[in-house]
Amino acid sequence: MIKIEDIHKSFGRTKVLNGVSLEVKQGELVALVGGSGSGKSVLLKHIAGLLRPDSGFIYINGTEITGLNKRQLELVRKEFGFLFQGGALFDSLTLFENVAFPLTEKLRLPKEEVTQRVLHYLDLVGLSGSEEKYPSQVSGGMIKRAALARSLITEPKIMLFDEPTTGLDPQMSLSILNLIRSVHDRLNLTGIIVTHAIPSVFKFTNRILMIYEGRIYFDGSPEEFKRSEEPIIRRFLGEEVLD
Amino acid sequence: MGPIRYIGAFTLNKLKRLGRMFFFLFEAFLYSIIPPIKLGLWVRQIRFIGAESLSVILLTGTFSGMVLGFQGYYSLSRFGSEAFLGPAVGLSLIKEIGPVISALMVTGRAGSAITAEIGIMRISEQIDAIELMGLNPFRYLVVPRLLAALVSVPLLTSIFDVVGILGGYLIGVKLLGVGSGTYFGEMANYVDLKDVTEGLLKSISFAVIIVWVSCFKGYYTGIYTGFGAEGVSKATTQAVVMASVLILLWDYVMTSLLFS
Repeated sequence: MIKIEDIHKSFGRTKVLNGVSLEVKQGELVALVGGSGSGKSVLLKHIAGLLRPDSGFIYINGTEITGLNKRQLELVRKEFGFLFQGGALFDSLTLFENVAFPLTEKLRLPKEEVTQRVLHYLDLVGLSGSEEKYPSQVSGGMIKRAALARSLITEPKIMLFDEPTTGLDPQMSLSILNLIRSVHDRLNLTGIIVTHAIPSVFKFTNRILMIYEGRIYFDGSPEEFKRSEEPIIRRFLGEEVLD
Repeated sequence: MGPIRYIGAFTLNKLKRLGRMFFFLFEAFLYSIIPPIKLGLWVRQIRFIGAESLSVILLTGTFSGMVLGFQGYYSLSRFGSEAFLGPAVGLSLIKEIGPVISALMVTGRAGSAITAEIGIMRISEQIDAIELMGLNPFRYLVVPRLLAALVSVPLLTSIFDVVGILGGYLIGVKLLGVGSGTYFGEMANYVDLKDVTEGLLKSISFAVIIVWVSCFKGYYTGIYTGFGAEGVSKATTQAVVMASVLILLWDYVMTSLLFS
């Protein structure tokens, strides 16, 4: 369970988060939407403990994380899977080694099991046959898919996806969202997807959160979001607003 | 109030950065003595910092020795003491020039690459990715490099000293006519084990400085230098300049301590 209470964050004089509060229940898959630069990724990094808020509290499964030290955060993060916007694959490792990294370093599984699981997940994201390639030898979309495989392979309890479908073609976007949904259903994980993949994402989540001017501006179902008459939401959805 | 507040903020900021830098060093040592140590990464870094720096050390060592051969002979011949060319070359190299120039060469070749590599890992969120796996980035990025430098830099310094002495021999004995037995015999008489230990102690401390500064600058790329290619470039330049200056300052401190 993720609970955020009134967090504020500024970078220099720029206020990015201005009193964000939200709660995501165990097993819920939530889409976080908002314009570019609205603070979606910053919010996600706060939840993951990569950034500390100027004020406010963040609870992960009941543990308040803003005051934890490095060692305590390491323990909390063992529950996490995180997909970065740019993939964040290790340049010096092949795609296979990248996906295997959390299994060998974090879970310390036997070699045969690692190979089996890595090949399975690479197959799921459509990367069979590219195991030995390095990140510099593949496209941005392939990097994103390998990163997704790496983040899901440990079967985390909490999954944070930062724009999982950006840079992918529509068909691949759909299959990635399907994969996220199926892993979510199978593991009952708690997840937040930061995305611009509208309207595809409406089919894969039951709840939409929209961030605007550093606050949660909308919190409701995809249907309510689509039917909202709020000008800011209409504008975000790309429809003409007549005052 | 304006200027006073500015000076106060500036001072606090610098102190905070200094504190963070020393804490970084403390953590590097801490995780170097607490297992597990990533042996594969350690060996890879020994190859990178040590083996791949060998050619530049051989080259600079030989020429430094040759220059010392010329300069030493020129100075000593004024007092009719050419026989002491061996000890002059040996002591200069072992106590001072060997450790300092080797460290500066390693800083330029490996230190800059360390900062650039870790800096790119920082701005491309690879370090965040390690942290989010619940793993400690120090074990992967800093500890293997620190342990590798502690092995490699003293060895490179020793090689520098040996080829430097041979360079001095080439000039002093083969070109300027000092006796071969005199060159090595007087060197054996005047160079003590204490001098060799002093040089090695210096090179060990320089190894720590190189890795400390290079890793710190790379690790905090973005926070102190701005993001993107420019941030990495600034961090790399700062790392090389700071490590080089610290090596020379620390050399003075160690020399004065060991002298007394």
